[in-house]
Amino acid sequence: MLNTINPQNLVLSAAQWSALGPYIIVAVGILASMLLATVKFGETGSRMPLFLFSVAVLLAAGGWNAMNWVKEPVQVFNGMMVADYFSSFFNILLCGATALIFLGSYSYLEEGDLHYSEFYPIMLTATLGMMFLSCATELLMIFIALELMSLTVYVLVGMRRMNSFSNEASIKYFIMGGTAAAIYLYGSALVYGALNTTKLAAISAALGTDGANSLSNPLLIAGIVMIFVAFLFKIAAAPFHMYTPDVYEGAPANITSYMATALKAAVFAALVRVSVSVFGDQGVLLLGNLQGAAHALIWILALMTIVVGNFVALMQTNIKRLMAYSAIAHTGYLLIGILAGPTVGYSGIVFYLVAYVAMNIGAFVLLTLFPGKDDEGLTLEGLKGLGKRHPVVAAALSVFLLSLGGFPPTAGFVGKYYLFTGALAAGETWLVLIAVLTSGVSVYYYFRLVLLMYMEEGSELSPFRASNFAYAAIAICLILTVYYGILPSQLLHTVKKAAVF
Amino acid sequence: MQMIFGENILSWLVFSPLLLAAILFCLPKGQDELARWVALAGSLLVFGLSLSVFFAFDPANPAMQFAIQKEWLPLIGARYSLGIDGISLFLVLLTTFLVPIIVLAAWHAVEDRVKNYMAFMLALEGTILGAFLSLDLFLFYVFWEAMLIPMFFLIGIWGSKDRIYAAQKFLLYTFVGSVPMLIAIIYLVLQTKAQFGDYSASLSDVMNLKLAADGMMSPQGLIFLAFALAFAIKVPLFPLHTWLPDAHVQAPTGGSVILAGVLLKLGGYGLLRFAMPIASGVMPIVAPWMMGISAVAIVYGAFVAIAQDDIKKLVAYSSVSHMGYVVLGLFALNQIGITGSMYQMLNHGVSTGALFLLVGVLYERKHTRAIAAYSGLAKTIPLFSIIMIIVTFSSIALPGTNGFVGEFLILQGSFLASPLFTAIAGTGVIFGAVYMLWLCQRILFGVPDAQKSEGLTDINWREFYYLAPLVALVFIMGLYPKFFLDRMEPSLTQLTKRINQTELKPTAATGKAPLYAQHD
Repeated sequence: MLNTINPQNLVLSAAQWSALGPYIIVAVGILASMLLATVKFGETGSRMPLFLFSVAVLLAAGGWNAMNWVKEPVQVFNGMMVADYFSSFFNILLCGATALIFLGSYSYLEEGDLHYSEFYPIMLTATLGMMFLSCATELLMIFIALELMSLTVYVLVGMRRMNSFSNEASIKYFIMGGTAAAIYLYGSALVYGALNTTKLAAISAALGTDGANSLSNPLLIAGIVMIFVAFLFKIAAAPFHMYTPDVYEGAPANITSYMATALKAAVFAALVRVSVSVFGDQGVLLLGNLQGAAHALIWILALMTIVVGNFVALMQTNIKRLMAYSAIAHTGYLLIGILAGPTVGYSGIVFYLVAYVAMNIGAFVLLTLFPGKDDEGLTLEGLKGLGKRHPVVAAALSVFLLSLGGFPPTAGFVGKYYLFTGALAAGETWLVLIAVLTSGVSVYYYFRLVLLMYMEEGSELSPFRASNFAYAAIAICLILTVYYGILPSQLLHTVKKAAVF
Repeated sequence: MQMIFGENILSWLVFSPLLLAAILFCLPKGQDELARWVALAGSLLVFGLSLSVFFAFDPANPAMQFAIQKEWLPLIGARYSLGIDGISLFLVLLTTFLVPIIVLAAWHAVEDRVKNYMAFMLALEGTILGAFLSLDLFLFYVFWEAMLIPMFFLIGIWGSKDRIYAAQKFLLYTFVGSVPMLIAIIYLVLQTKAQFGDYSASLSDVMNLKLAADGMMSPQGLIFLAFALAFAIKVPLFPLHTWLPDAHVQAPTGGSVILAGVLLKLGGYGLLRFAMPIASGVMPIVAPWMMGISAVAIVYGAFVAIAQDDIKKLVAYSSVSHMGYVVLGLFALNQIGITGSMYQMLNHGVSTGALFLLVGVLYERKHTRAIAAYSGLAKTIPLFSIIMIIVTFSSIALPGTNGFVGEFLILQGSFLASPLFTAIAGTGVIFGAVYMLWLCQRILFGVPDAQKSEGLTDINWREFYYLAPLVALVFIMGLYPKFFLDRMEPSLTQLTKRINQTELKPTAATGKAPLYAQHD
């Protein structure tokens, strides 16, 4: 069983080196950016070189993936990780999302006196963890990736050191996240005890050939449930979502968007891989006579997540909290995809994640432009009259909100349509019906923001943080949101290919 | 113009208003006069485009004309597919005809953010045209939902006091009402995959599906319910009409005109084009119910209208009543009734559009819509009063006006289907006369009051220009309906046959339903 560290398995072929390219680039980038962070540029210690370097690292890693797109899966390190279409796709998505967040953060951090040089290495480390999540095919590898990501994000959440909310959020997230990690680890130990393996492929094979027997083993069931609980915690599914509003509110806005988008996408990537191995090609079928139970559990969780997210969002006056609940609701939509299974559901998840990353980062970068050092401008009051004061900004935010609400012609609509098509093909009619009806609730709170911008007169707040980097990020997100709303055909084909295991 | 735009003329028709809207949004701030002229010229251009379609339209051909079909999202079966036939032809014309009128009506009524108002109006026009011309369910849904956005802004920004409440109510009502339709559409697309081997959202393929139709809980029954919910809210059919009075009363004049004139028609159009043919198997079950509800809607709308003391609210409830006739005629399921409904939709667009414009004229002068605030207008502003009387006659379906033709055909058709409901609906004609004539009596006649008539001036040239075409149409459509009916008839004959055919039989050779066979 210990052949994982058999030296001859560590000799890499050219294909494997190439598959590891993006990870090596980011890892080297982390080290280099740490060194770079110690250098003081100019009189005031400009962060510009560090910023440019970090963006370049991400672009290089994403670009490497785009150039050496892996057609045939390449196993690396004796099946600890795999480079395939799916991981290539996610690497580009994650690097792109992080780069967008870097662009959006620059002036936000400058003016919030938050521009610590550590920010860049830490963000890059978190991103590396996320990239590992999308390619890990072994339970412990997933754990390492999960922790690499989580530990760095705990730090990022508490970045506003002098702010008690930020500190509270960080501690809260750390304790809860630590518990989730422990549950995960315990779950994988139980799975190992039951099946004598931690590799996803081997788990899948064991369940497939010996389904009935393995399933009578309570160790295995408990282990799988625990692993899922940890994932559900990270993606903020109800009832494991309790930390989300506080953490999202306490964290600096750019970190909130990072958690809501890139982190969620990465954990979903891992969740999809684990689901494939546990539930098999047919979705929630492989569990044999437990099929009903597993299905019912995820069904109820998805339902709760959607309902809790959408209805509680109605009552929020702080925009970051509102977005936190809306993020919970979106997690619920994505869980429907998990329920629908690999053949029809998982490509919908991938598409929706792309749309979600574009529209959510766009909205958040816009929100980081708001005045107020500790995000105190991020209330419903602060939005009033924005349409008159900053028509272009308000129009862009409206597009993102429309997309989040699922209106055509935006990526959010196509994403929902595609996701729900898969779910209906899998026979989840009631869940989809409830999901689309409660998305009517979400339309109410998203449009309330639009309404405040255009239909209410606002006090003359101090002007926006004008930032060309942020505008560039917004423009990119806007283009993606609208483009994939009108001409998503190519992306649909790509995600279809990506979600083949 | 057909020569210039060639086979893509329908695409131009849909996208030129959207393009104009984008141009208007990009105009520099403060150029209100420029924005008005651009909007007027642009909307006239779009009207010209639609006229060129009209003149090139072959009246004898029942099939879709100028059809465009392009692959769009093969993975989910959506195609970019547009076409026009006798059913959509006049609704398209009505839309393009009303928009320049609205632009003129808003010339001085809208002073705040003029370019945005015009841009949203043109964007709304584009999405409405898209919905009328779509032959693909996915494409239709995209336009159907997209049109909520400009309408939301039109009500919410330029409306009266409670505009925000009205805008939200309108949006939520229509959005939530539409989502079951989305699920029905997805279901139909999945069925095309199961039955024909490939995803397709195109109407012709969907109509070829073989779906069980035994009872309301069968696929066809549920599909009908899902579609009918969305369309009944749009019509709006009693008891789903409660968003309409709010939206109408709060909306600016132009918003009310396009809402009553065209947006409501999408409900009737949707029922006729999508809900009824796709779920034709359950028509015998649902038709009596729908007729009964419509009969109630007609009488209810009329009664509530009688009780109003706000002119705009009165007209709004009269819409509920009049659109009730449309649904009544549709579910008579015979050609007379359906033809009448089509005609009534056009009538309602013309007459209610004109009524809202007239209310707007009064509101611009006195800033109140209370009936009690006006009296003796016939003496103080005679030209206005003449137009008001003509439009009233049209609205109460006096012979010689357009309203008569529509209501007569509907009642005739529905009598063949259900004498009882027709009798109930018939009383609505009387009550309709009551509230409209009583309104006229109160505001037009009587002794002019010095205080009430202060500041009232008769309609000016601009107002005359946009009201005159509507008045002319009242008579043209009333005296020479043949011109319009001839063009509708071939398509309606085919659709009526289709709706009455409970067994679905795709034509063997092509697998395409004959109705939507492409015209070459």
